Amino acid sequence: MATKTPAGEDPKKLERTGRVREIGSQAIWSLSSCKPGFGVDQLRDDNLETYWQSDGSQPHLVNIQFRRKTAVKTVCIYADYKADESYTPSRVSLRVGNNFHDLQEIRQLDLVEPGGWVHISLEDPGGKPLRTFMIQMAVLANHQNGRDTHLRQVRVYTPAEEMSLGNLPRFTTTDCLKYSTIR
Amino acid sequence: MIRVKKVQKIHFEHFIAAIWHALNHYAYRDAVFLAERLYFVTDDVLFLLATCYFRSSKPYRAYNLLKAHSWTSAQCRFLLAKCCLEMGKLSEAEQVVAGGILGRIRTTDEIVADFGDAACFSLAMLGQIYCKTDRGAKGAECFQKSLTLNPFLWTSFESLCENGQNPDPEQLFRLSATQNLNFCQSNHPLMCGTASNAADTTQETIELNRINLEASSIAKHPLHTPATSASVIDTTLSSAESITLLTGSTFSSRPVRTRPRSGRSLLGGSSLSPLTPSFGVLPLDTPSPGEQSGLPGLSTGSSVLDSNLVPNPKKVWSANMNTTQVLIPTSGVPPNTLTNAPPRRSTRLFISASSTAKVCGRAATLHYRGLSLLAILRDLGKAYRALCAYDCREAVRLFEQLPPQHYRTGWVLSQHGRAHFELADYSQAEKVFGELRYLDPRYMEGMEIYSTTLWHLQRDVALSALAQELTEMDLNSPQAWCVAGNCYSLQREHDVAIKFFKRAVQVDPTFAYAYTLLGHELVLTEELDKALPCFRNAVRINPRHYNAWYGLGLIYFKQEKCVLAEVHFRKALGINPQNSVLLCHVGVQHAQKKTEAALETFTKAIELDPKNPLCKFHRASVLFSIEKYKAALEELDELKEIVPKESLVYFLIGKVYKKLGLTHLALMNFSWAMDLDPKGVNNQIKEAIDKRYLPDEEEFAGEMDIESGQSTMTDGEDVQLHAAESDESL
Repeated sequence: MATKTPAGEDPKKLERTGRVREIGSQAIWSLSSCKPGFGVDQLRDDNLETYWQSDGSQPHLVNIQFRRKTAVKTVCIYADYKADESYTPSRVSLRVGNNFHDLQEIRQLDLVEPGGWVHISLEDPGGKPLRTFMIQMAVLANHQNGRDTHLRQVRVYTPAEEMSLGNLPRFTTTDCLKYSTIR
Repeated sequence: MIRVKKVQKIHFEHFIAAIWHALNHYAYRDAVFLAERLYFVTDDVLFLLATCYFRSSKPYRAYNLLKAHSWTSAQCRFLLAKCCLEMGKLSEAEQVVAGGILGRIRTTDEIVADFGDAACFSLAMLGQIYCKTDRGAKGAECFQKSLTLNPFLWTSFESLCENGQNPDPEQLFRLSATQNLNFCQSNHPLMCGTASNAADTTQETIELNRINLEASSIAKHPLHTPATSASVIDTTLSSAESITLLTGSTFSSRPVRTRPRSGRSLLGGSSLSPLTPSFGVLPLDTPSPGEQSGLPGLSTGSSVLDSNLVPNPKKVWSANMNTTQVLIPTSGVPPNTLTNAPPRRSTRLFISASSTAKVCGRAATLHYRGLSLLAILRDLGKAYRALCAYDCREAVRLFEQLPPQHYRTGWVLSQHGRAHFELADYSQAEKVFGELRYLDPRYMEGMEIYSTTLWHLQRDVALSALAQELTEMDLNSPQAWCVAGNCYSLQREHDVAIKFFKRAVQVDPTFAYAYTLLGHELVLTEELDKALPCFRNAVRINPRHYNAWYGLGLIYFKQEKCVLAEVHFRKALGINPQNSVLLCHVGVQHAQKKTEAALETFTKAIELDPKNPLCKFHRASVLFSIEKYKAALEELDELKEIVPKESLVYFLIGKVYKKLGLTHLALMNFSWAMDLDPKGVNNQIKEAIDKRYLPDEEEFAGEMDIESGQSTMTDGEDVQLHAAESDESL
């Protein structure tokens, strides 16, 4: 019996540390299929009660296209087995590239009865974030062999370099930070 | 037949009186209705009707009304210009005020001659128009002229300062002979005594006496019956009423000083005693013990005036059948004065009720009071001018020198706080603003500066409390939305912050700081293209807004357009040369190529503000990059004293030691840096430690000292374990 995928922490907490920034708003989102009323808006509305429900054949795809090559550090998805049962994704594949014809899979992960946020890190082993034009998230299989899938939220994070000039690292204490910029 | 006519005439006068009565009691709908009835009877009441419309916040109706008549009197034209300004029709307003026949533009003297009493206000309006339409020099001239006509126009002085002119408060806040006459020219006989009270040179005292004599001669005229009410008021009232202060900025009511009546007995005695002018009501006249002793009887004087405001009308009116002239033109006043009576409420400031017909001795007390007022205006003016010229230390000094009852007011505290803010002395600014919030929680101006101060200091609780209070208080003020935006920005919810800043812009498109904050927020979310127009808007509204110039420089810097960035930073520096943060940025920019220039800039910044740790840090890193390790180490040691908790300091020290080959010291410092920053915000520290022993192994292989090499390697392993542990904790 595979162990359940543990629920990660709320990515909002990550945001508050100031080290990451959500950049989904800078991208164009599209889905392979959806049921009316359960589409991109529900996927991106910051509300865990609403969800995207697909309406076609597998694999179900979420495409995220940026206007320019963007550094992406983490992708977070919220999936809840207790709420969605057979609609919960069990195998998710992440592909990146320049456009639809250029995608390459970089991560594939198996979820076992997830109960919340799942953080998918896109950093290379050296800790550098991935730079890409497009991310495609493919749901290859669902729990209990369900056909369609529910995804409640998807968030994309980029490392934030706030208030730093040039290559300078960010100061940690308020005493220094308050002098670092004029507002 | 004659009888009928007489009856009609009386009705007409009563009507007019009723309309002014309604206006003065803010019953605008009544006033409008009545005036509309009257308008269709006669055209003379054009001005009255237009005033009713304007005061009931319908400038467009007043505008349409006045527009329809081209041959109107000076005050109608003045009101028309005011309506145009209110509606944003700048060119038309300019045409009305300054445009002459056949399109010739009038000089300021002609305008003065034309508008007479309202000249100072028309000139102030014209100055505003010129400044908004990018004709700063002409605007400044207009403001100057308006100030010479009426030294109490603080907004003109403010505008002069904000435009970068350097007006001299000494010269401006002075009452000269001509000004006395101007005031006396105001048609209302009650105004004559006003200016005389404010004289403060011997020459002016002579003027004062002359006017006293004149006034006393006029005073004998039966027209002055309303004035008597004032004197009688004084005798009927005791000084027990608390003084409520007129000015909006003062808030706390001062306890009334029971003054010996003897000092004011003259008031009771004569029928034409001077009522102390309203500027006696200003906090001036509640002298603290250390204050000028030359203000006897002032408090009683002001209490007299306040009685008009204090709900004790019966007492006042019982003394005299006539109502107080402060509020209402009594029916005793003949109609010819009514048609050109200036708006009563605004003259409250100038009301001295009766003329200073009293003997010169009496004038002496008023003389002192006037002196004090103008003196205060001068002090405030000097401080404000210093602030606008960004000579902030001087401004702070001047503000701190003000007497306490003036200092503890909303406006002064807010400006004082701002002075500290511009110096980047945020903790001091926080204290001053905190005091302001304690003393006057309803004061809105300058709150956006306070919110940015809290943002810099990262006080999220205080900031969110402030945002909550202000948005509850007034949803229509841009300051409240700026504060709310800053609050969310501190919580790093940039989208919400952007939304609030946009709201602030919507609420008031002429509030430059909202644009600046919006621009900064957009820069933080890396939307540089959208941020550019925001900063440009801010600069368009206020060319001396150095924050916006800095923002533009920052954008170009991020886009690696170094020349443009430098130009904009220099521009910002030109406006505010004492800001060490700006200098720091310029220095960092230089550091990319010209290191000597960078070093100089940092030195200058350190001189300006020794408390700024960043300058030292940047200087140290520049020294490090040009391999002056000893000097760098000195700087860093000093820095350690200033900010002992900053991990980057230890990191840089570690790097320096590493370069110097003192690896154990380097390691020590790196581990301190890691301790101070366990989350590893800066991967560089980890990298530095990881990379540490690759070159070390080579170095020590080169040397004969294998033991020390071994010992450092074991140290290295310890550190690596330490680093690994911290990784796992992540």
